[in-house]
Amino acid sequence: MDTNALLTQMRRGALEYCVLGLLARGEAYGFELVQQLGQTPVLLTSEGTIYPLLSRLHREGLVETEWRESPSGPPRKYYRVTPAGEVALEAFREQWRAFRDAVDSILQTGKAETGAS
Amino acid sequence: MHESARPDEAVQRLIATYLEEVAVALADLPPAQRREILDDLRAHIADALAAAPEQNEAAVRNILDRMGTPDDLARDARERLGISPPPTAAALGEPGLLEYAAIVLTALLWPIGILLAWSSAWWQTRHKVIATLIGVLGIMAVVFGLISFTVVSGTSVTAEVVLDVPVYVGEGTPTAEATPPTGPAEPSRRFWRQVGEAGPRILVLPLILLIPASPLLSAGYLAYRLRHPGRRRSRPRDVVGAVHAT
Repeated sequence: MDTNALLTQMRRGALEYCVLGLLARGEAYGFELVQQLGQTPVLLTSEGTIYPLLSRLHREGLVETEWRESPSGPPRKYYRVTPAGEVALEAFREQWRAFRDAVDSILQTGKAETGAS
Repeated sequence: MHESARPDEAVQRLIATYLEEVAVALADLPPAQRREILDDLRAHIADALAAAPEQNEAAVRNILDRMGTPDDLARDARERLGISPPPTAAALGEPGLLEYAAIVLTALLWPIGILLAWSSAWWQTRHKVIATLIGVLGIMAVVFGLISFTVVSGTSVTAEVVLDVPVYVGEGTPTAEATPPTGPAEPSRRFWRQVGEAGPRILVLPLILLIPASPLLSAGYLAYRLRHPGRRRSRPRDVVGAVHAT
């Protein structure tokens, strides 16, 4: 239960940038993004929650959207990273690296010391 | 062909029901954002269904399960979009001492009672505004009524003086020039003069009754809203209508 809540919190913070990171590789529509994120089930539990997230990224000007006809069914909304989105993503990459290194160094210190002695 | 028509209907109904539930759960979101999310979810379901090996009820149920429950989606959307959840009647609990004291004091000591009502989270802001306006407008109506009464009665006094002059002259000096023109006009003038005097008084009577009545009405409205708190912000009927419209 506790680890679940912790994971939810960590996911909430990181998911936005994972979506930005995926879109930085190339534009995609919602269902495509969900499929890509779904390959690592840690990141997305309820698939529908990606849409409020995309809506927020759009409002913040980090992504732009374009409706295009789909070969099957209704038109699709494609998402693309804006220059502002690239900047935000790069800033997060640096912060994430520093954060991850700091957490790793502390969590691995114990192991390293016991391993050394 | 007929066999596939019925499952398709069931599939559409499942999707529509799900989207309606989401719409209701998202009722407190700004309409534009709610519509956007619903459109996205609808497109997602269509894409997922097209990608599924079979387009039957089971496939849709599976897709909707993966999407998350409407409540989960709504909670996540509020957190993402920075919208505080609506305080529900359940969250507020039963009305307590503060609410009942507010109603009683609104009737007896209106200013103190209405302040208590404003300090309670139980009533919605618009209901507090209405309750306050009922009281304030009642008092204002009385004030305006009294002002207009003194103004109207003031003019009717001067009219009386003017009207009385030819009467007095007519009695004192019965000249042929003065009496005939005022004579036939006088009954109607008297009538209008009486109306002019009685009119404001008739109007003022309900206004005077309003002095004790407006706090009572104000308190009555608060009591009514305690029993019928109403839904906050959008009504679900509007939301469901929006789903069908899009």
